[in-house]
Amino acid sequence: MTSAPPILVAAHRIAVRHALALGFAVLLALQALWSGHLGNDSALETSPGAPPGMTTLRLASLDEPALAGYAANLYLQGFDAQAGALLSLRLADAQAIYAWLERAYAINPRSGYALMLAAFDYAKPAHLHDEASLSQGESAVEPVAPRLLDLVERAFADDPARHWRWLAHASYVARFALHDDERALRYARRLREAPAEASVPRWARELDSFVLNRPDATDAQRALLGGLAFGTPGIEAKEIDRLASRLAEPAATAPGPGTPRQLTK
Amino acid sequence: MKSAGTITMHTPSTNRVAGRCAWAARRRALQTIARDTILEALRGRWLWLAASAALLVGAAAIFARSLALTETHEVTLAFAAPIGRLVAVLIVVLTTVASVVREKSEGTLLLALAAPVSRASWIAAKALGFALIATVTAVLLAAPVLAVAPMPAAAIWTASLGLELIVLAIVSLAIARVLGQIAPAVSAAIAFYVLARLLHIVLLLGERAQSYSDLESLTPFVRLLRLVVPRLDLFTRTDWLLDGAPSWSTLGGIAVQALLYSSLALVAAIIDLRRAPLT
Repeated sequence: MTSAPPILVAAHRIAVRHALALGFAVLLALQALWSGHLGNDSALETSPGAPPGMTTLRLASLDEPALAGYAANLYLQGFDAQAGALLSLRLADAQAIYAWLERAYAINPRSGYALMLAAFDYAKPAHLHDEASLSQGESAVEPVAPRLLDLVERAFADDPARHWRWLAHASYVARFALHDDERALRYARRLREAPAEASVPRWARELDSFVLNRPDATDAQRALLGGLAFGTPGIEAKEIDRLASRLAEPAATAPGPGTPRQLTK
Repeated sequence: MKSAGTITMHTPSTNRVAGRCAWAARRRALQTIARDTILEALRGRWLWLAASAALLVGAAAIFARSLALTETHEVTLAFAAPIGRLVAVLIVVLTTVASVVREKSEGTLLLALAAPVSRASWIAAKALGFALIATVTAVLLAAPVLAVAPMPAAAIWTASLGLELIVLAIVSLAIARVLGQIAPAVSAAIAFYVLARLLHIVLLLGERAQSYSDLESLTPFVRLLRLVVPRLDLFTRTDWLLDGAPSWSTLGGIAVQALLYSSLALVAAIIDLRRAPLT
Protein backbone atom coordinates (compact mmCIF):
# COMPACT_ATOMS: atom_id res chain seq x y z
CA MET A 1 0.00 0.00 0.00
CA THR A 2 1.24 3.42 -0.83
CA SER A 3 0.45 6.23 1.53
CA ALA A 4 -0.61 9.64 0.23
CA PRO A 5 2.11 12.21 -0.20
CA PRO A 6 2.59 14.44 2.87
CA ILE A 7 1.55 17.55 0.99
CA LEU A 8 -1.83 15.95 0.19
CA VAL A 9 -2.33 14.86 3.80
CA ALA A 10 -1.61 18.43 5.00
CA ALA A 11 -3.97 19.88 2.37
CA HIS A 12 -6.68 17.45 3.49
CA ARG A 13 -6.25 18.44 7.11
CA ILE A 14 -6.51 22.14 6.24
CA ALA A 15 -9.59 21.50 4.11
CA VAL A 16 -11.27 19.59 6.99
CA ARG A 17 -10.39 22.41 9.43
CA HIS A 18 -11.86 25.03 7.11
CA ALA A 19 -14.96 22.94 6.49
CA LEU A 20 -15.50 22.58 10.26
CA ALA A 21 -15.04 26.31 10.81
CA LEU A 22 -17.46 27.06 7.98
CA GLY A 23 -19.96 24.54 9.37
CA PHE A 24 -19.71 26.13 12.80
CA ALA A 25 -20.27 29.63 11.36
CA VAL A 26 -23.26 28.46 9.30
CA LEU A 27 -24.86 26.69 12.28
CA LEU A 28 -24.30 29.77 14.47
CA ALA A 29 -25.93 31.99 11.83
CA LEU A 30 -28.85 29.54 11.58
CA GLN A 31 -29.25 29.62 15.36
CA ALA A 32 -29.30 33.44 15.33
CA LEU A 33 -31.87 33.41 12.49
CA TRP A 34 -34.03 30.88 14.32
CA SER A 35 -33.83 32.88 17.54
CA GLY A 36 -34.73 36.06 15.68
CA HIS A 37 -37.60 34.28 13.94
CA LEU A 38 -39.03 33.14 17.29
CA GLY A 39 -38.73 36.73 18.62
CA ASN A 40 -40.37 37.85 21.82
CA ASP A 41 -43.89 36.92 22.61
CA SER A 42 -45.58 40.07 21.39
CA ALA A 43 -48.97 39.27 22.88
CA LEU A 44 -49.21 41.25 26.10
CA GLU A 45 -50.26 39.31 29.13
CA THR A 46 -52.87 41.25 31.03
CA SER A 47 -52.49 39.30 34.23
CA PRO A 48 -49.35 38.51 36.20
CA GLY A 49 -51.20 35.41 37.42
CA ALA A 50 -51.65 34.39 41.00
CA PRO A 51 -48.57 34.96 43.17
CA PRO A 52 -46.78 31.93 44.64
CA GLY A 53 -47.77 30.99 48.17
CA MET A 54 -45.75 32.22 51.15
CA THR A 55 -44.22 28.82 51.76
CA THR A 56 -43.37 28.40 48.09
CA LEU A 57 -41.63 31.76 48.10
CA ARG A 58 -39.70 30.91 51.26
CA LEU A 59 -38.62 27.53 49.92
CA ALA A 60 -37.78 28.85 46.45
CA SER A 61 -35.64 31.64 47.89
CA LEU A 62 -33.91 29.25 50.36
CA ASP A 63 -35.63 31.16 53.17
CA GLU A 64 -34.42 34.60 52.07
CA PRO A 65 -37.53 36.72 52.58
CA ALA A 66 -35.89 39.99 51.49
CA LEU A 67 -34.84 38.44 48.18
CA ALA A 68 -38.29 36.90 47.65
CA GLY A 69 -40.09 40.15 48.49
CA TYR A 70 -37.96 42.41 46.30
CA ALA A 71 -38.00 39.88 43.43
CA ALA A 72 -41.82 39.80 43.60
CA ASN A 73 -41.94 43.61 43.50
CA LEU A 74 -39.50 43.84 40.58
CA TYR A 75 -41.42 41.18 38.67
CA LEU A 76 -44.67 43.06 39.17
CA GLN A 77 -43.24 46.45 38.31
CA GLY A 78 -41.76 45.02 35.10
CA PHE A 79 -45.08 43.48 34.20
CA ASP A 80 -46.47 46.61 32.57
CA ALA A 81 -43.43 46.91 30.30
CA GLN A 82 -43.61 43.58 28.52
CA ALA A 83 -41.82 42.87 25.27
CA GLY A 84 -40.78 46.48 25.00
CA ALA A 85 -44.39 47.68 24.96
CA LEU A 86 -46.26 49.41 27.75
CA LEU A 87 -49.35 47.72 29.06
CA SER A 88 -51.95 50.15 30.27
CA LEU A 89 -52.46 49.45 33.93
CA ARG A 90 -56.12 50.06 33.34
CA LEU A 91 -56.17 46.86 31.29
CA ALA A 92 -54.19 44.84 33.77
CA ASP A 93 -55.66 42.35 36.19
CA ALA A 94 -56.01 44.57 39.25
CA GLN A 95 -57.01 41.68 41.53
CA ALA A 96 -53.82 39.84 40.66
CA ILE A 97 -51.74 42.98 41.18
CA TYR A 98 -53.24 43.38 44.65
CA ALA A 99 -52.51 39.72 45.44
CA TRP A 100 -48.85 40.14 44.38
CA LEU A 101 -48.40 43.32 46.39
CA GLU A 102 -49.98 41.79 49.47
CA ARG A 103 -47.73 38.74 49.15
CA ALA A 104 -44.61 40.85 48.57
CA TYR A 105 -45.37 42.87 51.68
CA ALA A 106 -46.28 39.83 53.77
CA ILE A 107 -43.00 38.07 53.07
CA ASN A 108 -40.83 41.14 53.63
CA PRO A 109 -42.73 43.52 55.92
CA ARG A 110 -39.68 45.62 56.72
CA SER A 111 -39.72 46.95 53.16
CA GLY A 112 -42.03 49.69 51.93
CA TYR A 113 -41.48 48.81 48.27
CA ALA A 114 -44.84 47.06 47.82
CA LEU A 115 -46.57 49.92 49.65
CA MET A 116 -44.99 52.45 47.32
CA LEU A 117 -46.24 50.49 44.31
CA ALA A 118 -49.69 50.21 45.94
CA ALA A 119 -50.12 53.87 46.91
CA PHE A 120 -48.01 55.71 44.36
CA ASP A 121 -48.30 53.59 41.21
CA TYR A 122 -51.23 51.22 41.23
CA ALA A 123 -54.00 52.78 43.36
CA LYS A 124 -55.19 55.30 40.76
CA PRO A 125 -55.14 52.87 37.77
CA ALA A 126 -56.84 50.30 40.01
CA HIS A 127 -59.56 52.84 40.77
CA LEU A 128 -60.13 53.38 37.03
CA HIS A 129 -60.25 49.60 36.65
CA ASP A 130 -62.83 49.44 39.47
CA GLU A 131 -64.95 52.11 37.81
CA ALA A 132 -64.76 50.32 34.46
CA SER A 133 -65.81 47.05 36.12
CA LEU A 134 -68.68 48.81 37.85
CA SER A 135 -69.88 50.40 34.64
CA GLN A 136 -69.88 46.97 33.00
CA GLY A 137 -72.16 45.75 35.75
CA GLU A 138 -69.57 43.63 37.57
CA SER A 139 -70.81 44.76 40.97
CA ALA A 140 -69.90 41.42 42.55
CA VAL A 141 -66.18 42.16 42.12
CA GLU A 142 -64.70 43.81 45.18
CA PRO A 143 -63.03 47.14 44.30
CA VAL A 144 -59.26 46.86 44.34
CA ALA A 145 -58.17 50.46 44.94
CA PRO A 146 -59.51 50.68 48.53
CA ARG A 147 -57.89 47.31 49.30
CA LEU A 148 -54.55 48.59 48.04
CA LEU A 149 -54.84 51.64 50.29
CA ASP A 150 -55.94 49.54 53.25
CA LEU A 151 -52.85 47.37 52.75
CA VAL A 152 -50.79 50.51 53.32
CA GLU A 153 -52.85 51.31 56.40
CA ARG A 154 -52.26 47.86 57.87
CA ALA A 155 -48.54 48.13 57.16
CA PHE A 156 -48.46 51.51 58.89
CA ALA A 157 -50.13 49.98 61.94
CA ASP A 158 -47.40 47.32 62.02
CA ASP A 159 -44.49 49.73 61.66
CA PRO A 160 -45.38 53.44 61.55
CA ALA A 161 -41.75 54.60 61.45
CA ARG A 162 -41.06 52.77 58.19
CA HIS A 163 -44.35 53.21 56.37
CA TRP A 164 -45.83 56.61 57.26
CA ARG A 165 -45.00 58.28 53.96
CA TRP A 166 -46.97 55.82 51.85
CA LEU A 167 -49.95 56.22 54.19
CA ALA A 168 -49.72 59.98 53.56
CA HIS A 169 -49.84 59.26 49.84
CA ALA A 170 -52.68 56.79 50.32
CA SER A 171 -54.65 59.49 52.12
CA TYR A 172 -54.14 61.86 49.19
CA VAL A 173 -55.27 59.18 46.69
CA ALA A 174 -58.32 58.36 48.80
CA ARG A 175 -59.34 62.01 48.89
CA PHE A 176 -58.62 63.14 45.35
CA ALA A 177 -58.87 59.97 43.24
CA LEU A 178 -61.34 57.77 45.10
CA HIS A 179 -63.24 60.78 46.54
CA ASP A 180 -63.50 58.76 49.73
CA ASP A 181 -63.18 61.51 52.33
CA GLU A 182 -63.92 59.20 55.22
CA ARG A 183 -61.04 56.93 54.30
CA ALA A 184 -58.70 59.86 53.65
CA LEU A 185 -59.46 61.36 57.04
CA ARG A 186 -59.04 58.00 58.75
CA TYR A 187 -55.56 57.69 57.32
CA ALA A 188 -54.77 61.30 58.28
CA ARG A 189 -55.93 60.58 61.82
CA ARG A 190 -53.68 57.51 61.99
CA LEU A 191 -50.75 59.71 60.99
CA ARG A 192 -51.65 62.38 63.54
CA GLU A 193 -51.95 59.81 66.32
CA ALA A 194 -48.73 57.97 65.45
CA PRO A 195 -46.43 57.45 68.44
CA ALA A 196 -43.62 59.97 68.86
CA GLU A 197 -40.95 57.30 68.27
CA ALA A 198 -42.33 56.77 64.75
CA SER A 199 -40.77 60.15 63.82
CA VAL A 200 -43.66 61.13 61.56
CA PRO A 201 -42.86 64.70 60.44
CA ARG A 202 -45.16 67.53 61.37
CA TRP A 203 -46.48 68.10 57.86
CA ALA A 204 -47.62 64.47 57.69
CA ARG A 205 -49.23 64.63 61.13
CA GLU A 206 -51.16 67.66 59.91
CA LEU A 207 -52.00 66.09 56.58
CA ASP A 208 -55.65 67.10 56.64
CA SER A 209 -54.84 70.81 56.77
CA PHE A 210 -51.56 70.59 54.80
CA VAL A 211 -52.85 68.51 51.87
CA LEU A 212 -56.39 67.20 52.15
CA ASN A 213 -58.11 70.52 52.76
CA ARG A 214 -56.78 72.04 49.56
CA PRO A 215 -59.64 72.35 47.10
CA ASP A 216 -57.49 71.78 44.04
CA ALA A 217 -56.04 68.32 43.38
CA THR A 218 -52.98 69.70 41.57
CA ASP A 219 -52.22 72.05 44.43
CA ALA A 220 -52.68 69.21 46.94
CA GLN A 221 -50.45 66.92 44.91
CA ARG A 222 -47.75 69.58 44.78
CA ALA A 223 -47.91 70.01 48.55
CA LEU A 224 -47.82 66.25 49.15
CA LEU A 225 -44.97 65.57 46.74
CA GLY A 226 -43.03 68.52 48.15
CA GLY A 227 -43.52 67.13 51.64
CA LEU A 228 -42.43 63.67 50.55
CA ALA A 229 -39.40 64.97 48.64
CA PHE A 230 -38.10 67.44 51.18
CA GLY A 231 -39.65 66.18 54.39
CA THR A 232 -38.59 62.54 54.23
CA PRO A 233 -35.30 61.81 55.98
CA GLY A 234 -32.87 59.79 53.86
CA ILE A 235 -34.91 59.91 50.65
CA GLU A 236 -32.99 58.70 47.58
CA ALA A 237 -32.28 60.85 44.51
CA LYS A 238 -34.07 58.29 42.34
CA GLU A 239 -37.23 58.76 44.39
CA ILE A 240 -37.00 62.54 44.19
CA ASP A 241 -36.79 62.22 40.39
CA ARG A 242 -39.91 60.09 40.39
CA LEU A 243 -41.76 62.53 42.61
CA ALA A 244 -40.66 65.39 40.34
CA SER A 245 -41.81 63.56 37.21
CA ARG A 246 -45.17 62.91 38.88
CA LEU A 247 -45.50 66.68 39.33
CA ALA A 248 -45.45 67.03 35.55
CA GLU A 249 -48.37 64.61 35.21
CA PRO A 250 -52.00 65.63 35.69
CA ALA A 251 -53.13 65.28 39.26
CA ALA A 252 -55.90 62.98 40.41
CA THR A 253 -59.28 63.91 39.09
CA ALA A 254 -60.87 66.53 41.29
CA PRO A 255 -64.58 66.17 41.92
CA GLY A 256 -66.47 68.17 39.33
CA PRO A 257 -64.44 70.29 36.92
CA GLY A 258 -63.66 73.65 38.39
CA THR A 259 -65.87 73.14 41.41
CA PRO A 260 -63.64 73.13 44.49
CA ARG A 261 -65.05 70.97 47.22
CA GLN A 262 -64.41 71.22 50.92
CA LEU A 263 -63.21 68.21 52.83
CA THR A 264 -66.21 66.75 54.63
CA LYS A 265 -65.30 65.73 58.15
CA MET B 1 18.27 13.06 60.42
CA LYS B 2 21.55 14.54 61.48
CA SER B 3 20.07 16.42 64.43
CA ALA B 4 18.20 13.32 65.60
CA GLY B 5 21.44 11.39 65.69
CA THR B 6 23.20 14.14 67.67
CA ILE B 7 20.40 14.30 70.21
CA THR B 8 20.45 10.56 70.72
CA MET B 9 24.08 10.71 71.65
CA HIS B 10 24.20 13.81 73.89
CA THR B 11 20.91 14.45 75.69
CA PRO B 12 19.32 12.49 78.50
CA SER B 13 15.70 13.06 77.35
CA THR B 14 16.19 11.24 74.10
CA ASN B 15 12.66 9.90 73.79
CA ARG B 16 11.05 13.28 74.33
CA VAL B 17 13.23 15.00 71.74
CA ALA B 18 12.79 12.17 69.27
CA GLY B 19 9.06 12.52 69.74
CA ARG B 20 9.37 16.23 69.00
CA CYS B 21 11.31 15.49 65.83
CA ALA B 22 8.70 12.97 64.74
CA TRP B 23 5.97 15.53 65.42
CA ALA B 24 7.86 18.17 63.41
CA ALA B 25 8.22 15.75 60.50
CA ARG B 26 4.53 14.91 60.66
CA ARG B 27 3.60 18.56 60.85
CA ARG B 28 5.69 19.24 57.75
CA ALA B 29 3.95 16.38 55.96
CA LEU B 30 0.55 17.72 56.98
CA GLN B 31 1.48 21.21 55.82
CA THR B 32 2.60 19.75 52.52
CA ILE B 33 -0.70 17.91 52.05
CA ALA B 34 -2.70 21.05 52.92
CA ARG B 35 -0.53 23.15 50.60
CA ASP B 36 -0.87 20.61 47.79
CA THR B 37 -4.65 20.67 48.24
CA ILE B 38 -4.66 24.43 47.74
CA LEU B 39 -2.20 24.20 44.83
CA GLU B 40 -4.37 21.61 43.15
CA ALA B 41 -7.40 23.87 43.52
CA LEU B 42 -5.40 26.79 42.12
CA ARG B 43 -4.36 24.70 39.12
CA GLY B 44 -8.04 23.83 38.66
CA ARG B 45 -8.72 27.60 38.28
CA TRP B 46 -10.65 27.74 41.55
CA LEU B 47 -9.45 31.25 42.34
CA TRP B 48 -10.36 32.53 38.89
CA LEU B 49 -13.76 30.88 39.18
CA ALA B 50 -14.43 32.48 42.58
CA ALA B 51 -13.23 35.92 41.43
CA SER B 52 -15.31 35.75 38.22
CA ALA B 53 -18.33 34.59 40.21
CA ALA B 54 -17.88 37.53 42.61
CA LEU B 55 -17.88 39.91 39.63
CA LEU B 56 -21.02 38.30 38.22
CA VAL B 57 -22.78 38.47 41.59
CA GLY B 58 -21.84 42.16 41.81
CA ALA B 59 -23.17 42.71 38.27
CA ALA B 60 -26.45 40.95 39.14
CA ALA B 61 -26.84 43.14 42.22
CA ILE B 62 -26.14 46.29 40.21
CA PHE B 63 -28.71 45.18 37.64
CA ALA B 64 -31.33 44.68 40.36
CA ARG B 65 -30.38 48.06 41.84
CA SER B 66 -30.88 49.74 38.48
CA LEU B 67 -34.41 48.29 38.30
CA ALA B 68 -35.37 49.37 41.81
CA LEU B 69 -37.50 52.49 42.17
CA THR B 70 -36.87 52.86 45.89
CA GLU B 71 -34.80 51.20 48.65
CA THR B 72 -31.99 50.72 46.11
CA HIS B 73 -29.43 50.00 48.83
CA GLU B 74 -31.62 47.28 50.35
CA VAL B 75 -32.38 45.77 46.93
CA THR B 76 -28.64 45.60 46.16
CA LEU B 77 -27.96 43.74 49.39
CA ALA B 78 -31.05 41.55 49.11
CA PHE B 79 -29.72 40.25 45.79
CA ALA B 80 -25.94 40.30 46.36
CA ALA B 81 -25.97 38.50 49.73
CA PRO B 82 -28.11 35.39 49.03
CA ILE B 83 -26.84 34.92 45.48
CA GLY B 84 -23.22 35.31 46.59
CA ARG B 85 -23.83 32.85 49.42
CA LEU B 86 -25.32 30.22 47.11
CA VAL B 87 -22.63 30.62 44.47
CA ALA B 88 -19.91 30.34 47.12
CA VAL B 89 -21.48 27.11 48.38
CA LEU B 90 -21.53 25.65 44.86
CA ILE B 91 -17.89 26.58 44.24
CA VAL B 92 -16.70 25.06 47.51
CA VAL B 93 -18.71 21.87 47.07
CA LEU B 94 -17.52 21.36 43.47
CA THR B 95 -13.88 22.12 44.30
CA THR B 96 -13.84 19.80 47.30
CA VAL B 97 -15.66 16.91 45.69
CA ALA B 98 -13.60 17.09 42.47
CA SER B 99 -10.35 17.08 44.45
CA VAL B 100 -11.26 14.14 46.69
CA VAL B 101 -12.70 12.04 43.87
CA ARG B 102 -9.69 12.73 41.62
CA GLU B 103 -7.33 11.69 44.40
CA LYS B 104 -9.31 8.52 44.92
CA SER B 105 -9.59 7.59 41.24
CA GLU B 106 -5.97 8.41 40.33
CA GLY B 107 -4.62 6.54 43.32
CA THR B 108 -2.50 9.45 44.56
CA LEU B 109 -3.80 8.80 48.06
CA LEU B 110 -1.67 5.64 48.16
CA LEU B 111 1.37 7.70 47.32
CA ALA B 112 0.53 10.30 49.96
CA LEU B 113 0.13 7.67 52.64
CA ALA B 114 3.58 6.26 51.85
CA ALA B 115 4.85 9.29 53.80
CA PRO B 116 4.89 8.97 57.63
CA VAL B 117 1.32 10.19 57.88
CA SER B 118 -1.64 8.36 59.36
CA ARG B 119 -4.93 8.22 57.53
CA ALA B 120 -6.54 10.46 60.13
CA SER B 121 -3.76 13.02 59.70
CA TRP B 122 -4.17 12.91 55.93
CA ILE B 123 -7.90 13.64 56.24
CA ALA B 124 -7.20 16.42 58.76
CA ALA B 125 -4.63 18.00 56.43
CA LYS B 126 -7.02 17.81 53.47
CA ALA B 127 -9.73 19.37 55.64
CA LEU B 128 -7.35 22.17 56.58
CA GLY B 129 -6.64 22.84 52.91
CA PHE B 130 -10.34 22.87 52.06
CA ALA B 131 -11.07 25.12 55.03
CA LEU B 132 -8.55 27.64 53.69
CA ILE B 133 -10.13 27.40 50.23
CA ALA B 134 -13.55 27.96 51.82
CA THR B 135 -12.29 31.01 53.73
CA VAL B 136 -10.81 32.65 50.64
CA THR B 137 -13.96 31.85 48.64
CA ALA B 138 -16.06 33.45 51.39
CA VAL B 139 -14.02 36.66 51.33
CA LEU B 140 -14.15 36.86 47.51
CA LEU B 141 -17.88 36.23 47.24
CA ALA B 142 -18.57 38.60 50.13
CA ALA B 143 -16.77 41.42 48.31
CA PRO B 144 -19.98 42.80 46.69
CA VAL B 145 -21.64 42.80 50.12
CA LEU B 146 -18.61 44.31 51.88
CA ALA B 147 -18.59 47.10 49.28
CA VAL B 148 -22.06 48.34 50.23
CA ALA B 149 -23.12 46.96 53.61
CA PRO B 150 -22.41 48.78 56.87
CA MET B 151 -19.87 47.53 59.39
CA PRO B 152 -19.85 45.52 61.63
CA ALA B 153 -22.84 43.72 60.06
CA ALA B 154 -20.89 43.04 56.85
CA ALA B 155 -17.92 41.65 58.80
CA ILE B 156 -20.13 39.34 60.87
CA TRP B 157 -21.96 38.23 57.72
CA THR B 158 -18.64 37.44 56.00
CA ALA B 159 -17.32 35.56 59.04
CA SER B 160 -20.54 33.55 59.17
CA LEU B 161 -20.26 32.77 55.45
CA GLY B 162 -16.70 31.55 56.01
CA LEU B 163 -17.83 29.23 58.82
CA GLU B 164 -20.75 27.96 56.72
CA LEU B 165 -18.43 27.18 53.81
CA ILE B 166 -15.94 25.41 56.09
CA VAL B 167 -18.74 23.15 57.35
CA LEU B 168 -19.84 22.49 53.77
CA ALA B 169 -16.28 21.79 52.60
CA ILE B 170 -15.67 19.19 55.30
CA VAL B 171 -19.10 17.61 54.84
CA SER B 172 -18.39 17.45 51.07
CA LEU B 173 -15.02 15.82 51.84
CA ALA B 174 -16.76 13.11 53.86
CA ILE B 175 -19.50 12.61 51.26
CA ALA B 176 -16.98 12.42 48.40
CA ARG B 177 -14.91 9.86 50.35
CA VAL B 178 -17.98 7.69 50.88
CA LEU B 179 -19.59 7.98 47.42
CA GLY B 180 -16.43 8.20 45.35
CA GLN B 181 -18.05 9.65 42.20
CA ILE B 182 -18.44 13.31 41.31
CA ALA B 183 -22.10 13.47 40.23
CA PRO B 184 -23.59 11.57 43.21
CA ALA B 185 -21.29 13.31 45.68
CA VAL B 186 -22.08 16.83 44.41
CA SER B 187 -25.81 16.03 44.36
CA ALA B 188 -25.69 14.64 47.89
CA ALA B 189 -23.70 17.61 49.23
CA ILE B 190 -26.11 20.12 47.68
CA ALA B 191 -29.12 18.14 48.91
CA PHE B 192 -27.58 18.15 52.40
CA TYR B 193 -27.11 21.93 52.19
CA VAL B 194 -30.66 22.63 51.02
CA LEU B 195 -31.98 20.33 53.74
CA ALA B 196 -29.94 22.12 56.40
CA ARG B 197 -31.26 25.48 55.19
CA LEU B 198 -34.92 24.52 54.83
CA LEU B 199 -35.61 21.75 57.30
CA HIS B 200 -37.12 24.17 59.82
CA ILE B 201 -39.74 25.20 57.20
CA VAL B 202 -40.48 21.56 56.37
CA LEU B 203 -40.94 20.85 60.06
CA LEU B 204 -43.24 23.85 60.43
CA LEU B 205 -45.32 22.64 57.49
CA GLY B 206 -45.45 19.13 58.92
CA GLU B 207 -46.64 20.39 62.28
CA ARG B 208 -49.30 22.57 60.65
CA ALA B 209 -50.48 19.69 58.50
CA GLN B 210 -50.66 17.21 61.36
CA SER B 211 -54.41 17.50 61.69
CA TYR B 212 -55.22 16.64 58.09
CA SER B 213 -52.19 15.11 56.40
CA ASP B 214 -51.55 11.44 55.87
CA LEU B 215 -47.85 12.14 56.38
CA GLU B 216 -48.33 12.80 60.07
CA SER B 217 -46.19 9.79 60.91
CA LEU B 218 -43.20 11.43 59.16
CA THR B 219 -43.06 14.40 61.53
CA PRO B 220 -41.06 12.61 64.25
CA PHE B 221 -38.59 11.51 61.57
CA VAL B 222 -38.20 15.09 60.31
CA ARG B 223 -37.80 16.27 63.92
CA LEU B 224 -35.07 13.69 64.44
CA LEU B 225 -33.42 14.67 61.17
CA ARG B 226 -33.37 18.27 62.33
CA LEU B 227 -31.34 17.21 65.35
CA VAL B 228 -28.59 15.71 63.22
CA VAL B 229 -28.20 18.32 60.48
CA PRO B 230 -26.52 21.64 61.25
CA ARG B 231 -28.73 24.71 61.70
CA LEU B 232 -27.51 26.48 58.57
CA ASP B 233 -30.73 28.52 58.53
CA LEU B 234 -29.21 30.51 61.39
CA PHE B 235 -26.00 31.26 59.46
CA THR B 236 -25.21 34.21 57.16
CA ARG B 237 -28.60 35.91 57.33
CA THR B 238 -29.36 38.76 54.94
CA ASP B 239 -31.49 40.50 57.55
CA TRP B 240 -28.30 41.21 59.53
CA LEU B 241 -27.29 43.48 56.66
CA LEU B 242 -30.71 45.10 56.38
CA ASP B 243 -31.84 45.39 59.99
CA GLY B 244 -28.56 45.75 61.81
CA ALA B 245 -25.76 43.51 63.01
CA PRO B 246 -26.53 40.63 65.35
CA SER B 247 -24.77 40.40 68.66
CA TRP B 248 -21.29 38.90 68.76
CA SER B 249 -22.75 36.10 70.88
CA THR B 250 -24.83 35.11 67.82
CA LEU B 251 -21.62 34.74 65.86
CA GLY B 252 -20.18 32.77 68.81
CA GLY B 253 -23.11 30.36 68.66
CA ILE B 254 -22.58 29.94 64.92
CA ALA B 255 -18.86 29.30 65.47
CA VAL B 256 -19.67 26.60 68.04
CA GLN B 257 -22.11 24.96 65.60
CA ALA B 258 -19.53 25.15 62.79
CA LEU B 259 -16.77 23.67 64.96
CA LEU B 260 -19.04 20.90 66.22
CA TYR B 261 -20.33 19.88 62.81
CA SER B 262 -16.97 20.18 61.06
CA SER B 263 -15.48 17.86 63.71
CA LEU B 264 -18.38 15.44 63.27
CA ALA B 265 -17.94 15.34 59.48
CA LEU B 266 -14.17 14.99 59.89
CA VAL B 267 -14.56 11.99 62.19
CA ALA B 268 -17.03 10.45 59.73
CA ALA B 269 -14.47 10.86 56.92
CA ILE B 270 -11.73 9.33 59.08
CA ILE B 271 -13.95 6.36 59.95
CA ASP B 272 -14.66 5.81 56.25
CA LEU B 273 -11.00 6.04 55.30
CA ARG B 274 -9.95 3.64 58.05
CA ARG B 275 -12.49 0.98 57.18
CA ALA B 276 -12.34 1.25 53.37
CA PRO B 277 -9.58 -0.09 51.11
CA LEU B 278 -7.21 2.58 49.78
CA THR B 279 -8.71 3.06 46.34
